[in-house]
Amino acid sequence: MSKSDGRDQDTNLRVLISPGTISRRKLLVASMGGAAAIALEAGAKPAAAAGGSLTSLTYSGQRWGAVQEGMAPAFTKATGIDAKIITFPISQGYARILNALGVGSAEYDVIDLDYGILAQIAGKLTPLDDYLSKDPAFKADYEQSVPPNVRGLYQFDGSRLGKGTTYGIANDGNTQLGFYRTDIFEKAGIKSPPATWDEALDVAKELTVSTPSGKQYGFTTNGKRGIYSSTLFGQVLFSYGGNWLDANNAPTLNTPEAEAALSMIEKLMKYADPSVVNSGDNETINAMASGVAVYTPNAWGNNAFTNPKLNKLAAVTKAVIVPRGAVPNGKNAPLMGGFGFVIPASSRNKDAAWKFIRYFTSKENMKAYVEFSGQPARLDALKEFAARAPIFAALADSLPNGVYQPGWLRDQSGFYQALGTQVALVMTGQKSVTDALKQAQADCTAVLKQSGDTK
Amino acid sequence: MSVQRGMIEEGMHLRRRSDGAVAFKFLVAPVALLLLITVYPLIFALLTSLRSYWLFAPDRATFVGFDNYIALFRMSLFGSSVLRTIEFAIGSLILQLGLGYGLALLLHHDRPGFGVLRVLLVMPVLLTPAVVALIWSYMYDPNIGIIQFLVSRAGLPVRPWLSDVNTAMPAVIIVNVWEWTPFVFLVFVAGMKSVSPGILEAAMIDGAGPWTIARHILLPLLWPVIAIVALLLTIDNLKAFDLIYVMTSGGPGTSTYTLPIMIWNQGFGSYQMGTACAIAIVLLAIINLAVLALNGVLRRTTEQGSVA
Repeated sequence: MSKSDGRDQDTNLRVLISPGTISRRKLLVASMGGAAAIALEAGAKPAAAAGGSLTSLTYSGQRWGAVQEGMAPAFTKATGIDAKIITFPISQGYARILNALGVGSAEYDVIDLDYGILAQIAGKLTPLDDYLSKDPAFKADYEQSVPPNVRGLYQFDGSRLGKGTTYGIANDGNTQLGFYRTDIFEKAGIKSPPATWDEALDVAKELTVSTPSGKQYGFTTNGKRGIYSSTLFGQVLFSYGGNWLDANNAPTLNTPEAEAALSMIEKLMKYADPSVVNSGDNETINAMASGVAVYTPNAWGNNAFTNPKLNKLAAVTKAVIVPRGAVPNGKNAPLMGGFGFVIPASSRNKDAAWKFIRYFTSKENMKAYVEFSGQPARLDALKEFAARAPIFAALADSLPNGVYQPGWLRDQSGFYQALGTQVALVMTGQKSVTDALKQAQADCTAVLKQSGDTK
Repeated sequence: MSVQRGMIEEGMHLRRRSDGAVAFKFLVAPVALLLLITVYPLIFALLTSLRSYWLFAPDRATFVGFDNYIALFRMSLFGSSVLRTIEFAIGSLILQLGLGYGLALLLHHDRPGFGVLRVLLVMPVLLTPAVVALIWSYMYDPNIGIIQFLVSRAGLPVRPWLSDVNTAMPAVIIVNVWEWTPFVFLVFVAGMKSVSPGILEAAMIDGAGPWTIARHILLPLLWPVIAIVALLLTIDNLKAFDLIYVMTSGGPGTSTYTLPIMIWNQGFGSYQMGTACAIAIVLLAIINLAVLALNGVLRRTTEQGSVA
């Protein structure tokens, strides 16, 4: 029904039931009019697609909503399935999905899910192993093109991600990445981006200088208290061979690796762009795009860093894998982000949903996926279309090395809040590394005990 | 005669009963609405604060008595959050009242152009706090903000206002003051206009200057108004969330981490509704204490006013 239709009908109703003129007959006429309008509206709708229909829930923005909306007509043409794409701001993601699945709503047939909450809602999702085994060609292609650690983000065995039942198919890949200014590095005679955190510290020190246009900082990152400061710390921790949890989900923040990681962050803060402690994704991009900062060793992967439409310095900004700890068991260990398609157990269109998932993750449709500004999880697509998005090459290097955020925790957010607060206190100089880690260990233990994640 | 009186009384009695019935009918809907949207959520929050209630598993919620409250005092952030909340509320209140009173003194006269000025001054109140917070965040931005530009032009040291643990809280307070001082100003102007001109004329004849009038005539007369404004502002400042959340989310570090931010983090970050409700109840208690204290001040000043 168009807006004008609605207004006309509303006006008619108001005249009919205006004070002093209302009568049963008029009400009856109004009701019949309304019924007729509804019938006409139903008649005006295009006939349902021959292959059925489905509703997909995703996030507004180039990486998600734009891709699905852009490819949906071709999907309908190819499969005969009418796809309705619902988008909403990603900041509302968890709550929206939780609400829908919590009440067993059949509203959505496909959800583009952040793996961070997969474990918490696995019971409300459709296991996809049967679909995969019935579709051996797709399964083989998926296993060949998407690294096992990325596929594992959507597998859950009841206690950990990475094994067990497959609940989702990875469609979007992301990790933390380093970004640096090639022109500034070249000018300073730095031949390659830092491979280790010690090198990152040297570079940060060297490039933090006063320039005619203001101070230039050799270090910036996502350091906002909470999830950002936690994942910043987590990434450095993993690169030093540490971990934040043991096999029983007990925090392991009082280790030499944790001390080394947080000490490195503390040292880097001397050369940090002043906004770091309040920086999320956008603030870090702004710091790099404005030229205030020239190097971020581990920001969350984001096309905006290297997109000329969004960053006037994009041409001289390059993405690389994050540094590793210069210790024997040090490694490149970017934390992983990314999204996977899941089918709610309450969906009434599971087969159509599977076709949708297959379409949006198949090799033959990756060109369109990338053209509509998607960020695939497939390594072959990242490599093949590297020219389209400069971060793809770094992402292809990073994804196989990616490590998991503790998405299996019932209270991952509480864990991040407790840990991130202490990391932020070190970053702002309000606490020593040792005291902060001691407090983080105590606070995280309390949080995880309260949520039942650990004993 | 007595029959007549009896009939009149009977009629009045029926009228009273009829009035009572009408009043009851009128009151049912609003009282029910009030119970539904105020009392029920309050009771629900109170009961939830006594349960271990994780939003992802409401079916597993269990009664834990005062455990959530006891846990609060073990949280390393709770005590400092209470202090930050009070710091924000009192810091804002003092500046809001002081500036509001000063502006009202300057602009309560009916002079050409003052009406327009008063309208312009009130405009910040009309803006949504989230929008105010966003605008000021850009203004404070150490790289592109106008404040940084002006400060550097003035030859003063450049600071990352919202990213420095020493300046973040004052910076947020300034924004809160900027937004709500006009409300104070507006109420004070109305209060000053209600003061009898005769009192002011008499004071001037007795040789009182502007300062004496402001300090010894207007201020005492406006005490009840000031107390009510202080009451409203205190409540508003103690529960301020949007401004702080948008500008700093409680950071840098924990320098602007107030109780409302903590409630949000527990409720919608960790989905620990039991803990979030326990903090909310504590905040409610703090607000009620403040209200009681200010009510006492209000009562005393009103009594003094009536004696005078």
